[in-house]
Amino acid sequence: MGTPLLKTQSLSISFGGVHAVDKVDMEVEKGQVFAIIGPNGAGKTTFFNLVSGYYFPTGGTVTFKGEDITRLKAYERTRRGIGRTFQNIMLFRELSVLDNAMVGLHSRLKSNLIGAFLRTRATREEEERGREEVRELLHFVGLDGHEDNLAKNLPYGMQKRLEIARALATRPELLLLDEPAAGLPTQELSSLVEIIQKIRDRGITVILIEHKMDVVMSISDRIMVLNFGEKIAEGTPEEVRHNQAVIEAYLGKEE
Amino acid sequence: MRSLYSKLKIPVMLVVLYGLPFVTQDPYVMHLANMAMIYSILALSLNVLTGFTGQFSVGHAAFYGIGAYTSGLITVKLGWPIWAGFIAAGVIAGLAGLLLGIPTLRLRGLYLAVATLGFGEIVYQILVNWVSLTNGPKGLTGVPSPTIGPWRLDMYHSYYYLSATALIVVVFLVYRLYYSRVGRAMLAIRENELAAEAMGINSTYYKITAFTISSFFAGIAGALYAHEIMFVSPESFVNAESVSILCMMVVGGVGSIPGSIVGAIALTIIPEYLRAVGDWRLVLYGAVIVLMVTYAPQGLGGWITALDHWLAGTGHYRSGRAKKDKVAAEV
Ligand SMILES: Nc1ncnc2c1ncn2[C@@H]1O[C@H](COP(=O)(O)OP(=O)(O)O)[C@@H](O)[C@H]1O
Ligand SMILES: [Mg+2]
Repeated sequence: MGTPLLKTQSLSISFGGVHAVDKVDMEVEKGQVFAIIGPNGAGKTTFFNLVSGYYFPTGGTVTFKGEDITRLKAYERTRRGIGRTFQNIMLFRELSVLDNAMVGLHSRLKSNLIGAFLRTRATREEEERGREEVRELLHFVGLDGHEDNLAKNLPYGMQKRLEIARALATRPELLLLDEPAAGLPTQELSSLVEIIQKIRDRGITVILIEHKMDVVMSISDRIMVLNFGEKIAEGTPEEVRHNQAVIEAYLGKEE
Repeated sequence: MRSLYSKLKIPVMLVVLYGLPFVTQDPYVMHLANMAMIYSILALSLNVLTGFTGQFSVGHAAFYGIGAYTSGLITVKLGWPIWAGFIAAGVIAGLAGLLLGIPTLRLRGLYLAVATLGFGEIVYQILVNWVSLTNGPKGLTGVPSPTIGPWRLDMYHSYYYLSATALIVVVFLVYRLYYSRVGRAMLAIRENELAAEAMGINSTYYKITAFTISSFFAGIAGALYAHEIMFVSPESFVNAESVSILCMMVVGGVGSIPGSIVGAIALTIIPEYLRAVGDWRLVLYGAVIVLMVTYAPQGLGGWITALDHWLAGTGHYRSGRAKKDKVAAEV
């Protein structure tokens, strides 16, 4: 298989004695949809924060495409190809939908202050190409026609999709989706699943935190289960479904 | 009718702006007009910091003062040409902004406000006490007026062409910044710094950049001031002046470019009419600001944008930025 796209070794962080993520070893192969499940407070979001550079671990390492990125800042990881969405929507609320997605292009555009002030030909062409690209992404997540609306005025489901479009604009190789289905009405779930599958078909590896089991089971290649910060199981959906520890810790309670 | 509005908007504004000295050359009026231009630049410069990146400053008069003294000293003591004084004013004030921006990066909200207030006080004290350089409280006299070709801009009404042009250039540059990749990064930081980082934005870099650009423009405003009244003294750069600039920006609407200009013009002219009521002026002033912030947090800029969209027939008010493509094509 070669080197995995993402690898964590003994990844840990504790907050004042709480081991939010505790010695987690995992690997994600390129092209997979990899799900992380676990009860509330299990450390899933914290794990994302460690992978995307929002927290620095108290122990262990994060390796991306063979490079140790444990000490890199969040924006540097984005530039290396790790994109993410947030569990609690974090859009640029007072900016338009188009601008939200344009911000995602940031690290791939080159125009600097001089380019801005002089509005050089290169700057104009770059902006034009950027807008085209972003329009395509907004279409991809089903937001065409909403380009000029302010992000804060979009209904909840559309805000979630805008977060995905914005993250895709960074051209990630690895996309971290934190509970994309949370709060969505049932009729929007199938189109979300479709979007995630199309993202995978574009060659983007997806790590998904999700509570909705039907969503998880239908699109994941592998599933990792966290409980109290520890990894208690990992495998195919079928394996995880029948894992005794998982049933006790999590599924058993819910079903 | 409506497309006519869009076509004529900018030419009409330019005619009104440059036409003023043809209507009156009264020194009192024209001095006030110059101050309105200078304060507009100051409010706009603060807007780059606060309106774009969301960093508050209550010490902006420091950069204004640094610019005024830089150009004043360079032209008076070194005899350099005035245009060199203007550039140096921007550069030195910009460097001061850079130096203040770095240590205050971690500060937010009230803490940043207090730090910038402290900086304003430090600069003021230096201007007062470093007598061998600044002449101290007596101020610096004999600051020269500029000449452009055969014209000496030594009257308020002739100088006005320079200050109006300076404002136009600054407005132009600030608009271009706003609608650029750099401006977008700044707005993203203001809206949500964590999310901005997830977009690959180095927020540290852009916050310092905003501080530097903002103080650069404030420094230019300082030079513009020094050569207008041909005299600089520390009293023009007290902390109350920083508060005035802040008020102009807030009344105009944080983040609104036309708002900053209208706010600055209004708060330059209105106090003149309130002289009759003496110190009650300050109370009124404060009351208006409290009312604006409470009931119209978008400031005058919100109304201007709404009116503009209505006249241009671009539907209901959404956001100045939403019509990006259109404006970008114009700029
Ligand atoms: N910044 C923080 N400071 C203190 N505790 C935190 C912080 N971030 C997360 N935690 C704790 O880590 C644990 C895991 O939280 P989280 O990762 O959000 O869980 P999940 O996403 O699985 O629901 C919780 O006990 C939470 O309170
Ligand atoms: Mg979570």
